[in-house]
Amino acid sequence: MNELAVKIKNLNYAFQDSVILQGIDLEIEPNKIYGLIGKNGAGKTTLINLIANQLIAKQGMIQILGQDPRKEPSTLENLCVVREGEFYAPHMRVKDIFKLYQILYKDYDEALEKRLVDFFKLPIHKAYQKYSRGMKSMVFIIIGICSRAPITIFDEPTLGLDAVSREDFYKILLEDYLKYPRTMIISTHLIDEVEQLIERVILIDDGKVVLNKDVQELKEQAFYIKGSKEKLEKLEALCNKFPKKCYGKTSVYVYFGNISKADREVIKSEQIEVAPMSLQQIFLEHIKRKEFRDE
Amino acid sequence: MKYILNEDEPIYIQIARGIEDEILQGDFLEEMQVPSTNELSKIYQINPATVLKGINLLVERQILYKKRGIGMFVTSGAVATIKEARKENFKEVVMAHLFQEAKKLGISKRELIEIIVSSGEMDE
Repeated sequence: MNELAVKIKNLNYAFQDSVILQGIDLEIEPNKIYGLIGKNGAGKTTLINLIANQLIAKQGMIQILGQDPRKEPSTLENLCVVREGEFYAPHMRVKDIFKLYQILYKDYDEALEKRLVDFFKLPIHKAYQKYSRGMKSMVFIIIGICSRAPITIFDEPTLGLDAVSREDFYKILLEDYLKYPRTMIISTHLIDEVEQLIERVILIDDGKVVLNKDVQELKEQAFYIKGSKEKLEKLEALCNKFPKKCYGKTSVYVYFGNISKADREVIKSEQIEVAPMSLQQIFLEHIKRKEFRDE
Repeated sequence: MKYILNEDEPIYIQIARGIEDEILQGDFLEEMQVPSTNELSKIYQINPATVLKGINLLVERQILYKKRGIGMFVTSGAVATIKEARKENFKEVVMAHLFQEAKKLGISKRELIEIIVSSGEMDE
């Protein structure tokens, strides 16, 4: 196969006097579900807008399916970006907004759209501006899924949605992805909720890509290690490392990496507690403790 | 609880174990087809790449094999393979843990044997 869905090299972007993105190198493989995470202001939305060619960077290269969208704008027909925030013509009836996107995307599935509209009971004859925040999110989630664009980016798709609707969204997204595999990127703050849905995670902090990894692999090399100081001193993994917490005689360490065979023996015989970390915890540790980064 | 996943172990390992359990229970017979990656993905509501990792683990252990263009099947002799691997695990992990706990609580070997003998839980 397999050219990259999105390839970014040395992307830099500043707005007025602030640097928003610095030296971004990113390769997004096709037909995988990616999670894009980072603090507010880290640069996620700017990155998405640059990929969508709605912002132009002065420095750096972006390719969508091997083509530069500035030279070959037709390549953008392969991209659908769904984002939170106001639609540019909110007075339009939702019915007509759907029609607009049906025309833009050649593989748009109208039958699926109808089923989803019925399922979520959306009053499509009403104007978009009359919708609640959650309902507005719903409109764009439906468009994002029904577009069947080879690359679909959901920028904070679940704002205003209650837990039930969010679960429905993840379920519908997964099912459609299974039937029609394509590249999906979900930018979200709800890391724990999407942890099992995504295959790879990209972490952006301070305008830089801090991580771009397979979630399972990441999690297999992330541990909390807890025990008394004397026991933990025997582990080569924790040599020269600082604990996350100490209370009384017990210390808790965060460890990223493989655990050697020798260490496994020590853990077993000394009954040292080793626990996995959730994706959200991994994210928090990477943000808080710069020594963990692979930059 | 087959279809509920916990946070303590990698998901793909739980998937592999779930399939093994069903093979042991006879829900999947040898030379029978098992659910596809997509079906399992839907049942567990997880990314299919994770399911695939679990399935590949079982292929490595020779519990499952692939019939090109059709799907994944249970290998002949899988039941015996699983039982043997789990017996090993029982000795190395489960019993080791039991001995550690017993030591911690000051339970002697004799007491432990008495507990087993008088429990009536196990076949002779």
